[in-house]
Amino acid sequence: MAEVRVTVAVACVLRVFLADPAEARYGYELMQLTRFPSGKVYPILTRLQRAGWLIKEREKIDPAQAGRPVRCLYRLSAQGVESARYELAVLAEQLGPAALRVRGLQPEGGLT
Amino acid sequence: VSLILAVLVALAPLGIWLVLNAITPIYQEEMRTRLSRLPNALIRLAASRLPPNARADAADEWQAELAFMLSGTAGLPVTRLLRGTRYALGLLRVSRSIARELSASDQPAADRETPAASPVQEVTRFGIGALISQLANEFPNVRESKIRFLEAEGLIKPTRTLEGYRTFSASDVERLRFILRAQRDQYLPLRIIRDQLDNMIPPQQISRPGPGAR
Repeated sequence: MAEVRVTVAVACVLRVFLADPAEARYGYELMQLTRFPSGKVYPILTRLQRAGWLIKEREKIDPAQAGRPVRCLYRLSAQGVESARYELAVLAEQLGPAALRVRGLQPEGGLT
Repeated sequence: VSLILAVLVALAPLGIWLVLNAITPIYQEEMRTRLSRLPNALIRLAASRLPPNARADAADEWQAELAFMLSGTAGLPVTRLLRGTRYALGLLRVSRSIARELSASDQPAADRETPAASPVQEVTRFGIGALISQLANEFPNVRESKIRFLEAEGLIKPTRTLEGYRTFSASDVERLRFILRAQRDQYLPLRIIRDQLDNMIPPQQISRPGPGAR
């Protein structure tokens, strides 16, 4: 299983997916939601897909009827939901107010 | 002479504006027909840098997104075209790193070993027909109406495709088996089954120990 290094950009993409874990998203839609350019979104999508966090699916439409080519959608796998939630929680803990406390100066159980 | 010059300078912006107004429609039409080939060519170039087995897929996906962008209703045609070109250029810029990503682990994710932390992996989703044939071994009498009923009662929550078709995951199938067994073997009412299901911990909520976890 490929390891995913959750950078801030990766976390932004994961947050969009976690907003509604069952929802599948288009690549362009993700660009709009994250305000990232294509050059940032697609490498992340590829990485997450290779790691098994994301599932890539083809739209089930008839291109002739819809008048446009079949687009691809990305959706979190069950493992992806779990991993993404966990990694974002870790990140939130690292970035949150707790990170500002200097280790060693703070009593283990907090101030009592 | 200086007076004439001053008048000319004053009128110059007006003249430029008139000329621009006259040529813009022609210019826009030209851009739309000719330049829409540019992003497509850039995408083909970007895709050609990927490993051979991924090329066609990537080109299809990106060109479909581009077609969607260009045919959209937001913004002027030229704006959309620029957006499409920027999209294609972005892909071209990172095509090498995408290629590295693809060849670094050159096997589909579905074939990999499932980690112990997540016993159920949603890899494929299937429609209601495939679901019923999966259940047919154990529950030959289950029909589509039964699935719809269980959904209406809130016991299962299949996701929908864009067209509104229900799609089910492997965990949905397990949930359904649980429900159907409880009805068949223990004659439990749906209310009780729902309570039992609600009290089960969904797999994604089991926390994994690791750095940062308390």
